[in-house]
Amino acid sequence: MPMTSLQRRRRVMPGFGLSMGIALTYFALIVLLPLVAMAIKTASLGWEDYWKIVTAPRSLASFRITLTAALAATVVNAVVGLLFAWVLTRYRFPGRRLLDALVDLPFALPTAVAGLTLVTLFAPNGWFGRYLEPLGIKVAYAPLGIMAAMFFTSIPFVVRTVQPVLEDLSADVEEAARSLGARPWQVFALVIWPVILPAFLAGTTMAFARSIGEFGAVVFIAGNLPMVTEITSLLIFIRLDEFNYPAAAALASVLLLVAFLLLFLTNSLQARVLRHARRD
Amino acid sequence: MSILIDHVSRRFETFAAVNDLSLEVAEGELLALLGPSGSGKTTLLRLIAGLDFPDAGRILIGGRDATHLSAGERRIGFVFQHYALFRHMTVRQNIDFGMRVMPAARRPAMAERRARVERLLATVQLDGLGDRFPAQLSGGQRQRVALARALAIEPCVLLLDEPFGALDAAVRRDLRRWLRQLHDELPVTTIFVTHDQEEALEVADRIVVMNAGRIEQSGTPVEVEAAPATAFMYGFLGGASRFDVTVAAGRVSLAGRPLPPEAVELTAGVADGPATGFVRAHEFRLLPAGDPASLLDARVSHVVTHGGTARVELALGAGRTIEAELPRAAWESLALAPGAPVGLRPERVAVFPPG
Repeated sequence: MPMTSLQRRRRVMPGFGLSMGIALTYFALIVLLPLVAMAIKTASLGWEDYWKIVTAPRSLASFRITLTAALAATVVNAVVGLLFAWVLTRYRFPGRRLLDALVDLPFALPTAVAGLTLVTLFAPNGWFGRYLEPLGIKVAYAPLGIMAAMFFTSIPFVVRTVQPVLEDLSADVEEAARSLGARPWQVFALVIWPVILPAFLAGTTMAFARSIGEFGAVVFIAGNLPMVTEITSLLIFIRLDEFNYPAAAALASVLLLVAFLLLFLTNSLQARVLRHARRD
Repeated sequence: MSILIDHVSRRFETFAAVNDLSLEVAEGELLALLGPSGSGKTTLLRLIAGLDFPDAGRILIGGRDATHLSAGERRIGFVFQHYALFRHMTVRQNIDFGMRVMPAARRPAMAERRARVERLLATVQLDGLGDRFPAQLSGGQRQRVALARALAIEPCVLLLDEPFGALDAAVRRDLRRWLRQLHDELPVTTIFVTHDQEEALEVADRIVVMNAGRIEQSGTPVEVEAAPATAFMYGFLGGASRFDVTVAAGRVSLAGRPLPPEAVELTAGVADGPATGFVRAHEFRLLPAGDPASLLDARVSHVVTHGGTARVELALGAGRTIEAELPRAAWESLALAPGAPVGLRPERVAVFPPG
């Protein structure tokens, strides 16, 4: 039998070499190369200079602001996103499909538009701002505004990762738990939660990563006061504007490190949670 | 425990899935709910389990009114067609689940829980697989885990919804026998739903056949098999041929030829005029063509011999084919080849009102 027909029988889809080649090349060009370039730029600084840039008060303040706002936005996102996914999968109500479609709006909307919208709402004379300001709650040009912008742009992540898993969960399993005597909260805690946890973790991580890197929506509402409401992404942009590439790269490397750490953490958590899916 | 279903109805929008149905299940009985899909058998099972609630009627379990009790309060073991195992838990954790969620006051001590799980693993012949996850088991093994999990709460009633429906034929046969044995050792009142009559006939003490939300016939496997009570039953049990017959003053004729009275079973309510007759495959006698006792002329179209029986497909003309079953020896003594003409004589014809 000729070789070609043997190979054709082994694989249903042809072109493994070609498709793998294209995928790897693009990945290298678009993802790896810039990362390497950044690493080289960062490395052109000595360790001492690097440390000085990274620990400068203005840099540290930007890290603190970015991370705390991202963390707060992610916590709210996780809770609200889970609730949203639950409502969308568990209940049938008029307008459900519309609501389902609207979840993707933050992805589709240019982030600058989102930022402008938030300013319109929360500026001291805006729709919400004019009532919140007298109560002493400052949103626009304050850390709370950064949080709001981050929340807005990253909410779809949790919803969209948890939703399919919830939809996939068969009613059988819950009924089995009920008939074995589990009360509703036990059904959730012991049967539903462990199953959606990996997706929930993935969605939360993505939301957090997106929040750390968010730029467009935040700069409009943040006010961008150095030390108070200046996020790291903006500081990087400013350094770049000053043609201070190494400093920009140094700051970026910190964000990158945080992102990597996070990915590593959630991946190892997921591996633990998903050990039941292994078949050996 | 005994179960009493008292005039229960369950409607979905306009469709009556269970329609004013009453049924009594004795303590320790192994009952099969048999019926075509859409006949309401699964709905009835879910009503008993408390996974659904009736629109009318009462359900008594062990003499206690359980109509409004939740599934968890009924102490009923339920086994689902697609196992419904907790995929993130090991086999042991799955079996232990029902004890784990008990209120602290009723929950057995840890040592007793462990011992019970091990005992059940042995009962369902899965010793050594306790630390596996469901994804690492075969379909038959998963269904046995589901059964062990249901038995762990020491249920007073065990309900199984098409328990072997998703398994292949050989595994089904084994599990069927094994379920029968298990019930003999552990006489819990058990109801299982199936659309497979062979399964029902083989396993159950009593069969309840459902059709359109009502009970069509109920009885022991022997009774149901030997004497289908309605036209639906003949159609459902299969292997019966249907004929248009004419009734005149208690005499029945088939295609213009009168049938011998001893071969006719007239059901009550059959009026003079056209009616429907059923002849089961093994109730035909095959005769050489032209035999004066023959009532129908046919041609042999296909034969399958299997073990001691021969199943013969016969062409009646006008494209109609019927099936007859006879002992292999009788078939061989006729010495007929496919295409040969043959005479047929029904030895028992059940006659029902037309329709």
